[in-house]
Order: sequence, then structure tokens, then C-alpha cells
Amino acid sequence: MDQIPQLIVSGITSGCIYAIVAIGFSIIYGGTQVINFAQGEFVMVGAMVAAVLLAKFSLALAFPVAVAAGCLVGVLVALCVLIPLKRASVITLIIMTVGASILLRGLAQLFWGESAIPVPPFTGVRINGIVEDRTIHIYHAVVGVQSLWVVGITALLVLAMHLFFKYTLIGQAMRASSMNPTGARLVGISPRKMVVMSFMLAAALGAIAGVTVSPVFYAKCNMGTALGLKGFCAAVLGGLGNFGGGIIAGLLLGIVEALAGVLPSPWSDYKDAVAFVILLIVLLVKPQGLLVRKKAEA
Amino acid sequence: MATKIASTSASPRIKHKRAGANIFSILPFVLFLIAYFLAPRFTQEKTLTALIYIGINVILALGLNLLMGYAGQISLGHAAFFGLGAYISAILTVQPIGAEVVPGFSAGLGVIAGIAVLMSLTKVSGWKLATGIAALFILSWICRLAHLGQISSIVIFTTGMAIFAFILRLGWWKSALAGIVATAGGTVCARFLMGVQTNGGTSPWIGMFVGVLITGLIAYLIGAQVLRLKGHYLAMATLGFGFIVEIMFEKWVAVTGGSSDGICGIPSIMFVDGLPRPLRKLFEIASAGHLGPKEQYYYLVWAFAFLALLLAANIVRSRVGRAFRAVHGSEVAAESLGVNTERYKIQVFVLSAALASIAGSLYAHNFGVGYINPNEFNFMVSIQLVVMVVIGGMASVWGALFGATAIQFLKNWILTLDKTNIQFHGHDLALKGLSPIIFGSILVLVMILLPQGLVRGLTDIIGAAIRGARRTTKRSVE
Repeated sequence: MDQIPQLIVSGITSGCIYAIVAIGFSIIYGGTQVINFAQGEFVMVGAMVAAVLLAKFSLALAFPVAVAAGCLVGVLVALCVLIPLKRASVITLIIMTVGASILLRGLAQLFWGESAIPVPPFTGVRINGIVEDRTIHIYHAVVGVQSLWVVGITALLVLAMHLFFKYTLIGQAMRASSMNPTGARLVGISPRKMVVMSFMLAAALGAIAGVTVSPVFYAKCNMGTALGLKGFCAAVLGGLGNFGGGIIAGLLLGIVEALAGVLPSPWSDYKDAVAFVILLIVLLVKPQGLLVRKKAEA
Repeated sequence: MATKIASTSASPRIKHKRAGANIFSILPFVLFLIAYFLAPRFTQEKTLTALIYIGINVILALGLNLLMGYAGQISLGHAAFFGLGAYISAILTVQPIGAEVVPGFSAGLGVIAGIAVLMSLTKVSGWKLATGIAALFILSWICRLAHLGQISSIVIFTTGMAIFAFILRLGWWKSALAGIVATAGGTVCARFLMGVQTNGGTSPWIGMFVGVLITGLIAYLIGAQVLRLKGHYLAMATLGFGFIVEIMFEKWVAVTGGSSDGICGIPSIMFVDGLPRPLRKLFEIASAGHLGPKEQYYYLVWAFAFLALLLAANIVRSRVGRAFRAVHGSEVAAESLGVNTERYKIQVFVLSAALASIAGSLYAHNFGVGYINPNEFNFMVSIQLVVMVVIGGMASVWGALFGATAIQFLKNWILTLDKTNIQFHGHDLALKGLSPIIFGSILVLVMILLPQGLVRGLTDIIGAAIRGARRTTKRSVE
């Protein structure tokens, strides 16, 4: 039982990432009615680019470059989706984004190798040539400062997204386009631009999450698939298109998953399956999401 | 898209009135049979190995094509069914479940059977179903803890389920029946497993049969719930299911051997040796005397592939096949025409899972390999299956054949590429792990350029070109 505070801390760290991925799903779903299976790969791209750059350059350079790379990838995926969008069936779109995600993972594997790359923390101390994370103690738990960075940046992103969608012209246009595409077109909003924008935004969010979390989890070319699925799980739990719900669900999912590690021995092996079981149960019992009231057509 | 498919496949039928015994509809099958018998005579060992894998892929692709191409329901976790078939028949033939796991395992399987009965009889879903499942599990747990005999556990199950039905206002005898099935299933399963253990394994045929049975049962349970979802939600749900099964293969070491060991020493099947004399003679003549174990296995795999092909071709042209296509086109319209969409969707899901399970068993018993591990049934395999269907063209039976063959050649090619190094800006770039890149780009490109699949897309393009050429010549004549 002593490990529970520690597990909750690590659960919150991964929960933040699930929350950001969930927001990305919601943004794209709102803009295009497409579930982007390549969502987790955006996180991977951010993490990998940052990991490769941080080996030689400072964080001040690596961070923006990684985010820019994420944006670029997002735009490319958006273009892939946009070409057939008009005449596409759902199956076509699903296969398309799945293909894009596998392609991205394969390219990352080809260029940066299969092994996990350790990434130095943002504010670490140099001990014997290796940068190590500072730690603080909060109630029986050792908290890495990097985890605080993750939580802080997540909070900042959520706030920024809220302000963006509420007060900026582009944000309002995106919301308009997702609520009523025809009406939005009538007042001169280009839906194609909005689709590209939403993919770019989601990719940028994912890349930021990837950079921030890479010191905790390492950067690995196959980290995307699981992250994407768990983020989707959070998005569905919170209700697709519902930012607040996605954030809460992401955090909850992270904590529950971490706590599954305290189960007695044979069961704790199945820790990774927890999120998928929750996903299946939620999809079957209440596909419109646990944290929303309105009825969605699943 | 769907209307286009329906119209193109319906037009030849109108021309010939009844397609039944038309020479052109039988011809491909006849050619196929001739090629089937004569192939070992003219091929080398390496080609025969490739042919065996192609045959297995054909069975898989046909099953998935019925589900995705015809009924329009996507599955991104089909490798799970493939793996279940492989693991079940491997476990039953060489690595019987240890005595300490048997009671829990068979009780669990009994409960699964009970859930299936409960679901199919009472049509419950959502929270009520979840409570029902929980009730069955709790009852079986009580029976195990109290070490009850069969009679008393049947009584406990029946009364427990009847009380449950009373509380939730379901049909009481239906729930009680589910309870009885749960206990009886558990007992039968335990007896069977103990028998298998004392004999040190069953024959591969029984393994294959049990594999189909259990995989079908699981597919029914999953399908009946999951297929109510549509589009993206369905894709994610099947993907999640695939991951759960994959994790189970990896972590349930007591039964599956885990990811490091896997299961090895799986025997092959001597197919021709078990046939009656005249048939055996036929195979011996066809193969010109080289009837080694590899040739026999080839004959077995392609016999199944041929049966699957016949089955698919017939289903597609039957009333059921038209119902599948109607579901694909518009579920609401199909419902309004009296098609029970839910039932057909579950049927096609179970059928395609059963085909995948047979393919899995054939994969496990492959001659000269005899080894499986969880990596052979992971997410990438599910994707490869989708690629097969997409390349071959959705809603095309012969397309599945083409897709399966193309993917096998592609995989072999990737394997040879993996071993080569190229120079890239002075760096040694190992071309390892190219398969995700190749499969990913195929998916994206085919979906952008030829969403009808390679075969149909190319024939459409050529047809359009010919028509265009004709029009221009006509115009120039005028």
C-alpha cells in the first residue's frame, strides 16, 4: 500500500498525455467527423524529433522544431484525408488514417532505429556527465520535476485551447464549421482550410505532449499506437468533442491504469489491457461517453 | 460505392437470366482444381512453402472480405481470431493445459457459454447484460470456493440465475437455462481437458474443430455487442479487442507459453495418408509420386482454401449475400425491406472469425515450422489482413485470392530487403523493418487512387479507356 501515492503520481503523468491526445481526437472529430488513427503518432513524432535534437542542441531549439515537425506531419495527414473525403466511405477514411499511422511509425523506425532513446529532463542536474531529474518529496511519493512540467504544460495547453476556441477568430470559425458546415460556408469559412487547421492543431498538441513526456517515458518509435488508443479511450469516456470530459477521463484512466499495478501477481501483468477493457465496456454500455448527457449516434 | 458494386455484380446475372450452371461461372473453379492437383509436380520446395502461406492467407482474406467488403463492417482485430485458432489447436495437440489451471479455465469457458446463451435468448444488452455476466462469474466463483459437486452447483446456478432474472425482470427460465449451460459447459470442458492431458494431446483435427467452436463462440459474444457500433467506433472496438487478445497471448504464460517461449513441436497433419484408398491414389498420380509431408500439407491447406472459396462465392450470390450487401449499402433501407440487419451482421462476423480460426490452426500445424508465438498475431498482422482485402478489392471473391498472393510475395520481398544494407549520404542504412512503411504506403495510395481495390480499379480504368477510344474512333468515322 506504500506504493499507492507513487503510483498515483505516475498515473497523473501519463494521464496528462492521454488527456492531450483525447483533446486532439476531439478537435479533429469536431472538424471532420473523422477519427484520426494517426493521433498517437503525432506524439511519437514530437518525442522522437526532440530526442534526436536534444542530443546535440538545447531545449530552446529542440522544442519548437519538434512542434513544427508535428505540425508538418499533421498537415500531410490532413491532405491525405482531404483528397478522398468527398466521396469516401467511413471504411476508406479509417484505412487511410491507419495506413498513415503505420507509415509514420515505419519511417521513424527506419531513420531513428527501433530502440528507446533516453531524453534528458528539462530542468535536470548534471551528475557524472548524465543529466538526471531533480526530485521532490510529496507525501511518501518521490515526484520528478519533469512530471511537474508535464502537468504544468498540460494545464497551460488546456487553457490555451479554451481561449483559442472562445476568443480568436480562427477558433470561432473552426467551431462554426464543426457545428454547421453549410452555414459556415455561407459566411465565407473554407471547410478545407478548417480541416487542415484542425489536423495541424491536434498534431501540434500531440507533439508538445511528446516532447514534454519523452524524458519520463523515453522516445520510442512504437510508442504511438498504445498512446493513441488510450487517448481515444479517454476521448470516448469523456464524450467525443467534449474537452473537459476528455481531460478528466484521461487523468482517471492514467491513475486507474497505474493502480492496476498493485493487483496481486498474476493480474498485474495485464496492466496494459486495462485501458482496452475499459474502452470496450464504455463503447458497449454508453458509446456517447460517460461524462456527457446528450445522446450521440454511435 | 456500395451501389456501384451492387450494380456491376448484378449486371451479368441479368444477361444470363440464371447464373447457376453456366460454363463461365464454373470454368475458374475447374481451372483452379486442375492447378491444385498438378502444382506439386511442377514446383520446387520453396514455391510450395510460399503456396502454403498463400493458401492460409486466402482463407483469412476471404473471411475478412465477406465481413468488410460485402457487409461493410470493419475489423481491425482479425489477427485475434487467427491467433485463437492457432493457439487453441496448438495447446490441445502438444501443450495441454496444466492440471492446476484446468478447473479455473473450464469454469471460465462454461461461464462464457452461459453468457452466450443468456445473450441469444433474452437479447439483453448494456447494464443488464453486465450484471448478468457478473452474476454468472460470482456464482461460478462461489461454486469453486465451496468445492461443490456437479448436482449442487447446477442447483446453485439455476436458482441464482432465476433470482437474478426475477430482480431484472427477464425471462426466468431463459436465465436459468444459461446457468445450467454454464455449469454443464464447465464440466464438459474440464472432462475434455483432463482427457487431453492424460493422453498427452489430441489429434490436430480435433484441435482445429475445438478451435473453430471456441473462436466462433467468442466471436458471437464480441460481435453481438460490438456490431451495434458503426464506423469509427466499431474499428476502435475491434482494435481494442485485438490488443486484449494479444496481451493475453503474451502474459498468460501458464497456458500460452508467453512471448519468449511460445509453443513448439506442433505436429503437422498427414492429410493424404488419412484419405480412403481411391482418393489417395488420385493424389499420388497427380503429384507424380512426390507425396512428401510438405506436398500433403499443401494439398490440405488448398483444399480448405478451395472450400472457403466455394463457400464465399456461393454465399455472395445467395439471398444471404444480397442481405450483406444491403446492410453495407444502407442499414436503414435494409431494415425497412425486412432484412434482420443485426442477425446478418453477427452471422458474417462469426463466419469470418471461424474461417480465420481454421486458417490459424493450419498456420500452427504447418509442416517444418511447428512453432507459434504471440508476435505472429499482433496488430501488424491485422493490418496486413486489411491490406490483402483492400488490394484485392473489397467485395470481390477472386480479389481475395489476388490480394493474398500479392501480400505473400511482398512479404518475401521485404524479408530479402531486410537483409540488405544501402548507403544513404555516407551512412550505412539497414533496411530493417521496412514492412510498416510498405504496407502503410500501400494502404494510403490505394485508398487515394483506387478505392475499389487494385483489380477492380484497374479494370475500371482500362474499361473507361477502351470506351473512350471507341468513342473517339466512332467520332472520327462520322
